Amino acid sequence: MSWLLTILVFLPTVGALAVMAAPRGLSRWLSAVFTGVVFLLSTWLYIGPMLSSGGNAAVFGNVSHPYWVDQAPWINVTIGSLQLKIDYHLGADGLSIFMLVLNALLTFLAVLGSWNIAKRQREYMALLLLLETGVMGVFCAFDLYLFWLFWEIELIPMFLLIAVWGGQRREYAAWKFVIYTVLGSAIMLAGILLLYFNLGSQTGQYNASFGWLATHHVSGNLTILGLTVSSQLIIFLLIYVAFAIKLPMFPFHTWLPDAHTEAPTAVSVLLAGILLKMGAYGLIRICVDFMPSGAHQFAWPLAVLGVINMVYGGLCSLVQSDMKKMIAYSSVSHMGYVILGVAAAVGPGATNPAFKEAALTGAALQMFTHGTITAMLFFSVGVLYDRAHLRDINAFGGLQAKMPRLTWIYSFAVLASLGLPGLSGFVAEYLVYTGSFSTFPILVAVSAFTVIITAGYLLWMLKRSFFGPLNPKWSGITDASILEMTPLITLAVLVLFVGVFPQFLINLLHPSLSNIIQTISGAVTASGR
Amino acid sequence: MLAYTPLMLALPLAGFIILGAGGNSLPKWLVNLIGCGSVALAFILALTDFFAYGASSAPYDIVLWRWVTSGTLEIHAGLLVDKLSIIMTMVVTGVGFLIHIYSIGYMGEDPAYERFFAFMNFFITAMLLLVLADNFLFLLIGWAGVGLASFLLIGFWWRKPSAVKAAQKAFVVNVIGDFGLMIAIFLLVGKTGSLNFTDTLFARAGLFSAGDQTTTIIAFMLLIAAAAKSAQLPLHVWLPDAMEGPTPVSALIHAATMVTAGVYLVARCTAIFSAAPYALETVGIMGGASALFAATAALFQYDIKRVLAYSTMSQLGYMFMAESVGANSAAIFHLTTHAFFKALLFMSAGAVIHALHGEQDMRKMGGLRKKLPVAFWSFLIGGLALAGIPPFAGFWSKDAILGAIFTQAGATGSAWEYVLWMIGVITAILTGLYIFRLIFVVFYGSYRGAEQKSSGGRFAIHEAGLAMTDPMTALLALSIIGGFDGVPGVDTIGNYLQSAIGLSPAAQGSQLVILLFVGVLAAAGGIFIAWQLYLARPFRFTPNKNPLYQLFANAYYIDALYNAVIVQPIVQLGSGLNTLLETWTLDGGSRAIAGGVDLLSRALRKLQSGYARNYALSIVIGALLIVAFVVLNH
Repeated sequence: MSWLLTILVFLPTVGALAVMAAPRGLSRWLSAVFTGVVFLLSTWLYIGPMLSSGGNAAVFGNVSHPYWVDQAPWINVTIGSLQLKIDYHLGADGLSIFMLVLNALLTFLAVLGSWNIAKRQREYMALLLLLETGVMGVFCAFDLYLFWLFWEIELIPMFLLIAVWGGQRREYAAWKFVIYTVLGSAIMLAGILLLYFNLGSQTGQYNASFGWLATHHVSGNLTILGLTVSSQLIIFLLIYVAFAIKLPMFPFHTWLPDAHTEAPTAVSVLLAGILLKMGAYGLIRICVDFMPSGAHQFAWPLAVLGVINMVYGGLCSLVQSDMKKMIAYSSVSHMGYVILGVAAAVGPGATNPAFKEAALTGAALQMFTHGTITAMLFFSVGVLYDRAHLRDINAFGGLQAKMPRLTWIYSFAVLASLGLPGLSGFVAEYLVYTGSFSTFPILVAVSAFTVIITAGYLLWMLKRSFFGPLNPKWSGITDASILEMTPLITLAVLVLFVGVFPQFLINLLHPSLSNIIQTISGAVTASGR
Repeated sequence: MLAYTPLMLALPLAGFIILGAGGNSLPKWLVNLIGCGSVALAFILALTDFFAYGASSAPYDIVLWRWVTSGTLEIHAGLLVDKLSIIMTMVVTGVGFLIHIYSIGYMGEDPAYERFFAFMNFFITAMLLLVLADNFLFLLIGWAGVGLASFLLIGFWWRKPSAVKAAQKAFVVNVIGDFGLMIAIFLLVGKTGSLNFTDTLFARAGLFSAGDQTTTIIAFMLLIAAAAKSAQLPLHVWLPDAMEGPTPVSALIHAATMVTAGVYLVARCTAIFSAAPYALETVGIMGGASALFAATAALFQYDIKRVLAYSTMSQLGYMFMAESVGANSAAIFHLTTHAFFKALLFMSAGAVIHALHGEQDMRKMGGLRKKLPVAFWSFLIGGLALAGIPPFAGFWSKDAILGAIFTQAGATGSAWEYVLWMIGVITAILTGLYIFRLIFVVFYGSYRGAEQKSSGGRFAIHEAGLAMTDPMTALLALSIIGGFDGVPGVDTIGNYLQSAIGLSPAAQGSQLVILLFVGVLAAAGGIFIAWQLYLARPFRFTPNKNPLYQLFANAYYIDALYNAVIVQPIVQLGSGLNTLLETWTLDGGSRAIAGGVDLLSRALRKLQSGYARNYALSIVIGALLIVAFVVLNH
């Protein structure tokens, strides 16, 4: 019991209180200090075990034995034969650590990126910090109820951040975001309850801790509306709805373009960089690991939907004239890789487990790479928007003449986003494709056209806005400042480093993911499919 | 010495980083030193590799670091030295170095001078990675890297909309190639469980067997990649437009090195192609069609660089024709000599353009022989080498290709291979025609351009500086002697490659002297026609309405066709989906549901009127209903 995870989750809350208590002039500095400290703490989650184990990444453990654990009994009620047991149970294995560090980093950079926000800066910063608490909680909750709780907590600051600090249609976008998400989490709660009580009655032990759920799976069938369906599939679908909305998966994605477009820059960064990953994380951590045969039964539709995401998102991006909206649709497209990778991991066919793990690793890496790369894209557009108050791609032209720094870093982000080999996006996409090809050859071949479409719309955007003759309207525009470049350069270094040396992340993920792959193959063998 | 091979990549990479990060604060001489020096050192390393490797035939593998492991699948970063990669590195760094020197003169006045050298160094790094990678994944990384370098350098003058458009087009077409290569790699790793050349291409015999469907698909996917990179039909459309880039870029990337990557890929993957006869036949069809197509398209171009671009495409077609009959060594031989004379031709074209302050239109040139002697002689020697006149370099390599095809046709009796040979000969005629049309029109006759301003009393059209003419002279020499190591009977390059792993036996050039004469006659015939048409009588450019002329001059209207059949439909599809499905159905649907809930709650809200009498009424009705229910159930 180290309390490190607890500190990590609640230090931002303390920070939020401190920001509200301190004079207005101090709020951004305080926020930077708090998020900075949280970021350093989060890196210790990685560095500490690596040091103590002499660099053996197996030490991070898996869902049953995570390296970091904070646990205390919380609610334990028995009513008749029903037992309700919710623990305060935080844990972090490789898969969580990876997302915790990303969250800490992006929140810190988001604070830097919001340095000059003029409107109610104190409240804004406090909400960013509260958001960090909610997201941290989601990524290290190791009790299903606690997970759901944090999942809901995160919603409130995000709603306010969009609704108060957003663009023209901010209230519409914020409400849409909330209604979609709450609808999802209501259905997820139904799924959680169904899982908890079914499993409890089957095993005689009521327990919602992740370690228990990953090793004890629901069996049997449920009858719903006269149809008899396997319980795992039902529960999988109920819980997955929430994640599918968050990811977002076609056809539940329409909240995202509005929310991304209307949110202020740093919030778009967090929304795309971290909040979407909550869906991906939930899919891998909960849906696949706790309902493996349910996931297995749903593998085909999941793969098809993933490919639709990729292609459809790409095609929609192609015709957007709003720069932020284009990036939003490109997120839809890129998150399709996560879905496809997971589908291949749980998919049919007794292929080489190395490929299944490659697909799952690719899906997990895509969470990280999309988080960093899309953050770069949104930060860059933010720089432009702060000056021009416009995001229309066609309204610019030849900006490189006035903004060489921004042009180069933006081009770098674009190249990373279109999967240029040598940068991190490629690693993830490549592993997803390699891993899923033998399971879904035709689908992968179709989806690989996404790569071409992506190159098309991103370069077309660069061409129209940044190259060619300078539009005289913007002859007075200034280049990105050092402060604005800081988050961009930090992320660029990370994107390049992971692209060249991805192995350290893969080592970090391996213990968790190989355990999940074992769970899947165990379940698939047991069900005789 | 072979262990130092990684330095060959590290030096230009360091040059790229230094020049890219801080080039604009460095003095120009230092930029030159770093930009050219790094490539010069890389060339020296390539030479030492050549001597250190000697006559060995075992590939020398250097593993750098583990990139990704997943279960049994391990991918590492590594380099592989064998004879094929040695030849490629020597061409890339040797010709690359000369073009870097040339750029000092050509780009001298460009404000983004150091950025140019940074990109050029980046290109050299990526190209070396492409030819030295010891596995398919790092080959792909190099493959995409040269595509990126090409994109950056075509769009180097980014204020010009046409340049930016060309850069984008080149990138997107190249991504299609990358897509092919990626699919090939997925299939390959699925089949063999490894991506290393040692486990796949050089593995035991029988890994790739004829008739195996997967092998055939892999070969076709590799072919897509090769076609896109080497500008072969139907993926050639980006190359003529790529001439928007500065001329040294055209010389280095779009003539001598990057566009030959497809030829390298097919040669490297001989083990796969020789087990996929259909694919190999398609290589020949693609090469033959491209050679003929491009030669006709080159006939009536006005832009001096576009003539050379189509010529490059045509010559690459020859290389693929050679590969389709298994004559990889002839293909690589032609790749080498082509690098010499085509780089020379581009450099001389650059010298002309430079002297005329950016004029590329041949209609505004003429009579430049006296004013630009070095450019003229370079063009003449380069043109003779390209046309295939002995004893210049191109003659020997083209003869090796035609001879190999003829020999193979005789051995198999395949009619198609005779056709292929015929295509080769016809293309040779056309080659002599289009290149000497260019030479006669540009250097003979009288000057047709606007009067150039005099400066200091001298006529403004004058020869370029030493930085440009020296490398031209070096390549001029190579265009003369560069083919002698491939003379039938001597054939050192053929023997060198013959023992290289993965390459089939060397083609020996024309075994029959008569064939040798056919080749020479074809080339001479083409030159004679050019002489008749463009030199014997005073020549004037006049618009020509002849449909065949228009078809050739517009390169068969393929650009317009692709735009109408592929690009526009995709954009329309995106636009249609965005309107019909996204905005109306999905988003509209969700808003309709929200609106429905809204209406419903508005209706229900009426019940909460706040009037006690309404509530009392409801209570009474409810009570009556309960009573009725209880009574009726009894």
